[in-house]
Amino acid sequence: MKSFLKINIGILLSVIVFCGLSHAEANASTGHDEFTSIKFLYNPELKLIVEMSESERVALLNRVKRKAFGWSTYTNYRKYEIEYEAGTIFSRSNTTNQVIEFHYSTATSDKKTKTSELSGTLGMKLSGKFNKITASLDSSIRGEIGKKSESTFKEEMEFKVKIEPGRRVSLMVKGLAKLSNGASKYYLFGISAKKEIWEYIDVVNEYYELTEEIVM
Amino acid sequence: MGLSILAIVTTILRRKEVYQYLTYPNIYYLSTTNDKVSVKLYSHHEVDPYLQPANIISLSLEVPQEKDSYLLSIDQIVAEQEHIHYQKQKYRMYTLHLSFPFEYDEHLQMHNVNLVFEFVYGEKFKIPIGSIICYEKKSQDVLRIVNLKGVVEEKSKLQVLTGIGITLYHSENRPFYLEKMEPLDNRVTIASNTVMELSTTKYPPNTGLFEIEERYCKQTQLLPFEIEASQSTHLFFPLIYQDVQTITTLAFVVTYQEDGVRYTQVLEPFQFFKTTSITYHQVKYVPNSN
Repeated sequence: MKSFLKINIGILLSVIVFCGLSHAEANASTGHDEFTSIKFLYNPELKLIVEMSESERVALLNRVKRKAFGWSTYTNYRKYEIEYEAGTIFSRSNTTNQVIEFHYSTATSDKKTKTSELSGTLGMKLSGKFNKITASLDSSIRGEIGKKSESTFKEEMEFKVKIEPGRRVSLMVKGLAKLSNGASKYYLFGISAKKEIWEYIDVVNEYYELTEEIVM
Repeated sequence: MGLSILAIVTTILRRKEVYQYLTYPNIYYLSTTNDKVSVKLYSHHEVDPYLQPANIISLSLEVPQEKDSYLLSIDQIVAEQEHIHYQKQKYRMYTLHLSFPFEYDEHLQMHNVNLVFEFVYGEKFKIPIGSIICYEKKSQDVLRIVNLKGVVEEKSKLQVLTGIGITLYHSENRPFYLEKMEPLDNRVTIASNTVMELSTTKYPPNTGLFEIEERYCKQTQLLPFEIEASQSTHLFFPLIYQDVQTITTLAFVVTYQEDGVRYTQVLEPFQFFKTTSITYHQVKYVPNSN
């Protein structure tokens, strides 16, 4: 019975770890769900938060200045230009023998146009949850790096394409954005009560590319 | 109807306040087979009496440059659940579903268009919405587009579509010549009627025109351009603007010759990019101030 339980617990833990690793793999490359790849435009040697080692993150936190009360923020990168890839919006095949008209419409690609935020406490695991940035911390960070564009309109995206028989049409997204990251500490009577490492990506432009390929 | 009018009058009398609206310039393409357009605007009021169809006596399109005006039909005005914040104020999104109850031809283009709202007691205000471009939807689609993308650069602090890359595939083993490529939007033209043939489509969308020519261009020539059969040809067309501006969506009319016969084909509107660097309009309306 004991060996049966041990085997089953072992299997369960393996599944949990496997799932955790799989989830980590989905986010590990950039740390932001919306972006599949991020590249610094003019400073290829720079690192995203997810690429930093534990000691590098500790160093960021150590640069935060002490204060009596409230959030204190250290900005490591301030609005560095990046190129990103955000994957495929749609990919539609036509396996019929007639031309089909595909109409893709969305109220917005809102998650791609507004700021993507990443934060975590020291020692965060890549597969772990990222803490939501509070309004007060956001205010402290924005005070340092500046506000994002106020143009957060919900712009509807609409694409109408004709797909020939035996073809697949895909719409891919790339873009330009500005990346800022750093560390913040919340102080009570001069003692650090909370620590956060954060990374903001403010999208500037989003580019669309339509491609067609043979599927059969 | 009577209750609605009473509500709007009561609202005006109760307090004299400013009604604020936000819009951003958009390009609305209307094909001759579709006379519907949906316009989004944002109101400072959660429930805006000026955006209730029962209170709008008439809604028209005004084209200031030509002094033209077109009466529209309101199909529906939807108060959406979406909100945005601007200058520390909250705005609610409204979608105006409109119809054009008049015949228009494929050459009708209107830029810097205003929506003019008229209410009871002669109240009126205007909201700018951008451009409306009408085109004829042609049924023949012989030309196959295998790849379509744009190149965007910053000019005069604006994000500008400076060129478009298009890969064409021609399967028939007959002489095929691309004669002309014209944007439907008359504010944009193809530079000097020239086309570049590129070696690849793998150039970044924020590449400059100079770099496109230096790194990716196989040859540049004047149109007409012969498209070889049974292979993809990567072409690039630099764009020229009457006035430098941000235009994210373009449709094209392509003229080509196949086996000595000339054809035209419309490439449907395609949004090449989106930018947060856009100019928006804020309209303030004080009731009974006319």
